[in-house]
Amino acid sequence: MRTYAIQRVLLLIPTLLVLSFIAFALIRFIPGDAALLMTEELGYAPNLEALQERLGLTDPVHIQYFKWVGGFFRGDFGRSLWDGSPAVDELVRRLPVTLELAFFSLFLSALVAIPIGVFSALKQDTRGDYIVRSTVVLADAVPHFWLATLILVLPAVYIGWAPPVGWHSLTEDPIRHFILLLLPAAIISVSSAASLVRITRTMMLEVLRQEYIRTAWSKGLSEGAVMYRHALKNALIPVITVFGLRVPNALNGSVVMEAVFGIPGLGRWTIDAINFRDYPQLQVALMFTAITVLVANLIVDLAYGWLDPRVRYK
Amino acid sequence: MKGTWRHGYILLALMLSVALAVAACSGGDDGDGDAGGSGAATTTTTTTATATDTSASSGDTMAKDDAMMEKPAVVYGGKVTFGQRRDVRSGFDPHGTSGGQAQHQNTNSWWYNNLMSRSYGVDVPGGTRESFNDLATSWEVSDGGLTYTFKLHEGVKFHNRAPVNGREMTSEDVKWSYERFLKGPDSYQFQLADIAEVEAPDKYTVVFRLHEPVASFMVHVGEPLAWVAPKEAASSPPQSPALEGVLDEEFLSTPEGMIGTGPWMFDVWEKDKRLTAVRNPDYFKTDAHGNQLPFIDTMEYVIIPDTQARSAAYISGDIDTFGPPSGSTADFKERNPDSNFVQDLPSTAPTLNFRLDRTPAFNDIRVRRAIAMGFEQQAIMDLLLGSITEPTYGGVPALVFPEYGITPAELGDAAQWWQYNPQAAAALLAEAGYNANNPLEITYQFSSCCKATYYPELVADMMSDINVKMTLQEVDHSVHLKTSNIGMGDYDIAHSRLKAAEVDDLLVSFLPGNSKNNSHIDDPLLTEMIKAQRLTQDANQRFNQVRQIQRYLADQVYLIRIPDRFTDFFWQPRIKNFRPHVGNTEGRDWEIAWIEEG
Repeated sequence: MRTYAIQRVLLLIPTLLVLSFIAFALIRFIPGDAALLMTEELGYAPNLEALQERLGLTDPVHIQYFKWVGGFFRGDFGRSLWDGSPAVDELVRRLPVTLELAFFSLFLSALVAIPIGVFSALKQDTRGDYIVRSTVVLADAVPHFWLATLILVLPAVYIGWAPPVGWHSLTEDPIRHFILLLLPAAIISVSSAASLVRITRTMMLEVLRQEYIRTAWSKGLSEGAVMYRHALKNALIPVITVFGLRVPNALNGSVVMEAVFGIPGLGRWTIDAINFRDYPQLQVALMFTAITVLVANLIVDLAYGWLDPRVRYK
Repeated sequence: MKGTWRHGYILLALMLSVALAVAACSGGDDGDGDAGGSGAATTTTTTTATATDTSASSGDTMAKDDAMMEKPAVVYGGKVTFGQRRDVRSGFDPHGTSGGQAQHQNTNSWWYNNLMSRSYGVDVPGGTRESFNDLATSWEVSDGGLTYTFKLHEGVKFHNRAPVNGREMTSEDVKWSYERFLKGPDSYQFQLADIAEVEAPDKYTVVFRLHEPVASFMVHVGEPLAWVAPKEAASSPPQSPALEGVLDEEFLSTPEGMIGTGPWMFDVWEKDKRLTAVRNPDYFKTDAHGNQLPFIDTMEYVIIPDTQARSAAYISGDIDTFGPPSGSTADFKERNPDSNFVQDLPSTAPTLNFRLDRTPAFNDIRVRRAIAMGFEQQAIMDLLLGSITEPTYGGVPALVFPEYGITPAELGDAAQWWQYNPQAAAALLAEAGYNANNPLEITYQFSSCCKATYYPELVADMMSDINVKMTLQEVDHSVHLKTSNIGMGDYDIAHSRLKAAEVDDLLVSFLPGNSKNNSHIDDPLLTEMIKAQRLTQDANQRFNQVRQIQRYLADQVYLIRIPDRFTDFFWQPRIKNFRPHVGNTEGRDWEIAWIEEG
C-alpha cells in the first residue's frame, strides 16, 4: 500500500508541471494585456510601453514562465498586476468560499440522491420509478445558469419577492450565511444529484440480484438489514467514485453561481482575472483549483487501493 | 494513476471553458445602460451660470425652489443600497480614473466635494448645463476670460480621521488637488488642460489662470474630475504598479485614504462583496430650511454581477436603484408601477468613424454622403424599446446636447444626406464609380463588447442595399482598444464612443492630432471654425458659430453618430426628495434625499 501511495504522489509532479504550463500559456493566447487595458480604457497611465515594462510584460514569454514557476516553488505566487496585492492572499480569502459552496452542494446532492436512488431501485418499473427516472433526465439536462436565472427572476416578477443574493461569512452571521449558501448550492447539486440517483439505482439493482443477497434473505434477515447492511453498503462503492468525479463539476458550477448570486469566491475572481488579463491572479487560481482536484482524485485513488486490494497489487 | 491525470485534465478543460465562456459573455457593458451613476457628464452653454447666480450658499439648489414652500418633514437615518456590477480593481485614487470603467467613480462624490458641481436638486431637470457651487461660494472672471477667481466656503472640515483629523479645508488643498489631477494620467484631463496655473493667494481664495480664454471652462470645472483631497495624502508610492511614478500618493489609493469633505465617510470595504459609508456629522451643508445634510445614515453598494439578479434584487427591495438594460425599460416600468422613474440625457456619443487616412474612397465626399443616406437611423431607433431616442445629423447629437438640436430644415441642402433614401444613395455611389457589378468593399471592425450599441449586422444589411459590400470584422475588446478605439489598425469603418460634458468636447475631436479624432479629419476650414468658437465668450455668438459648424459637418459627413437612448433610472418609492442626474456626482443628489419607511 505504501509503494502504491508513493507512486501516486510522485506522479503528481509531472502532472503539476504540465498544468502550470497550460495555466501560464492559455491566458496569453487572449489578445491584449493588463497594461493595454489600464492605459486605453481606464486612463491609469500615460505610456503603454513603460507600463508593460514595469509590469514585467515585455520579458520573453519563457523567462516570464520560469520566473513564475520559480517563484511558485519558493512560495511566491506573484502579485496582482492591478492592485499589487499578493495573489495568494486573495486566494486564501476566496478558496474556502468556493470549496464550501462546492462541497455543500455535493453534500446536498448525496443527501437527496441516495435515498431516491434506493427507492427507485426498490420500486423498479413502478409509477414512482418512472417519475424518478424522468425527473433525473430533466435535472441532468437543465443548465445551472438557466435554472438560477429562473429562480431569481420568476418570483420577483410574479410575487415581488426574490431570493436573497450576496454573501455573509459564517462568523459574521451564521443563519444568514446558511440562507445565502443554500440556494446556489441546491442549484449546483441538481445535476450531481441526477447522476447519483442513476448510479445508486443501477448499482442497487445489480447488487440486489447477487447471490449473497439471496442468501441473506434465505437466512431470514429483516428487510432493513438486507437492504441497508448488505445491499446498499456494497452498492455505494461506485457511488463514491462518481461522487469524487463530481468535484470538478461542482467547482465549475460554483463559477457560474458565484457570478449570478454575487458570491465572492474563486470563480468570480477567475473570470475577473481573465477580463482584466491579470496573469498572476489567473495562474494562481487555476493552479490551486487544479491542485484541489488532483488531491481529491488522489484521495479517491488511495481509497480504492485501501478498499480493494486488487487495485494496489495490479 | 490514469484516473489522476484524466481527472486533472477534465477539471482544467471544464474550468477554463466555463470561465472563458462566462468571461466572454460578461465582457464589456457598452450600452448596457445600467445607470447607477456610471454614466457621465453633460454640460451647458456656460453663460446660464453667472457669478451672481452661483453666489448663494451651497445647497441653494433646494433653496431656490423650496424657500417659498412649507418646511418638509425630513427623516434622518436609514440605508440606501446600490447593486454594482463590479468592484474596484486598482485602488480608490480619485484622480486619474474618470474616463473609463473605474468602479469607484460613482462613490467619489460620497467622500469628496469639488469647487463646483454638476447640477442637482429634485427640481433641476437632467442635462442642465449649469455648474452649481460646491466648495466655492462665488466666482468671478477677469482678464478677458483668462483668470477665474473662486471664493471658498469657510469652516469646511475634512472627515475626522487620521492623518487629517477633521482639519479645515483651505485653498491650498484645492490647489494641490488640481495640480495633482493635471499631472496625472486621467484620460479626460483635456477638459481642464486650459489651466496654466493655480494660485492660492489666501486661505479661502483660489485663482485659475488659463492659457486661452476658453468659453467652456466653467462647465468643465463642474465636472467630477479634480476632487478636493487633503494635502496630507501625499506620502509613499502607490500600491498599484499602474500608478507608480505617475501619481505618488499611495494613501489616496487605499480605502482609508478616502478622506474628503463629503457627506459620507468610508466605513467598510470587503472586496467583491460590499462597500459601506456612514454619515459625516460635520458636513458643511444645510438645506434651504437649515436642516443639517445629509439625511441618510448609511450608503452601501453590494456587488451583484448579473443583471437579472440585480433586477430581481431591486424588485424584492434589496437594492434601491436600478438601470434596466437597453430595450427592457418599458417592460420593467410596467412591472414596477410604484417605482420612481426618470429618463436622463446620455453623456456619450456613439459614432461610426470613416478612416479618411486609410481608405481612398472616403476622401470622395459622394461616398460618405451616400453611406449616410443609406444608413437607416429609424431601424436602430425602433430597437430601443421604451427609451427616448432621436436621429442625428452629423456632428452634435441632439440627444446629448438638446440645446444644439437642429432640424433638417435648419440644415439646408445638407439635410438630404441625412434622410434615408437608399435609391438616391445607390445613385450617388454609382456617380462615384461603385455599383452592383463593382460594389464598394469595406471592412467594419467592431468590438465583441458592443454589438448591442452598434448593430453591425443591421448596418451591413443597410449597406448591401446601396451596393456597399461590408465585411464584418469582430475583434476582442482589447484589440478594439488598441486599434479602432484610437483610429488605428486594418479596417475602413469602426465605432467609438466619446464622453462629452460640453459641446466643445465633441468639436475638438474633429481637430487634426486630437486623440479622439478617429476619422483622421484634417480640414483647415473646420479647424478654424472650431478654434474660433472655443474662444467666444458671448453665448449667442458662440451658439451661431456652433450652428455653422453643425451645418458644415452635416454637409461633409466626416462621421455618423449612431442614435442612442436616454439613460433610464428607477429608484424605490421609499426614497424621497431625490432626483438622479447622470454624471458621477450622485453624492450631491443623495445628500438632500431621505428615506421614508412605510
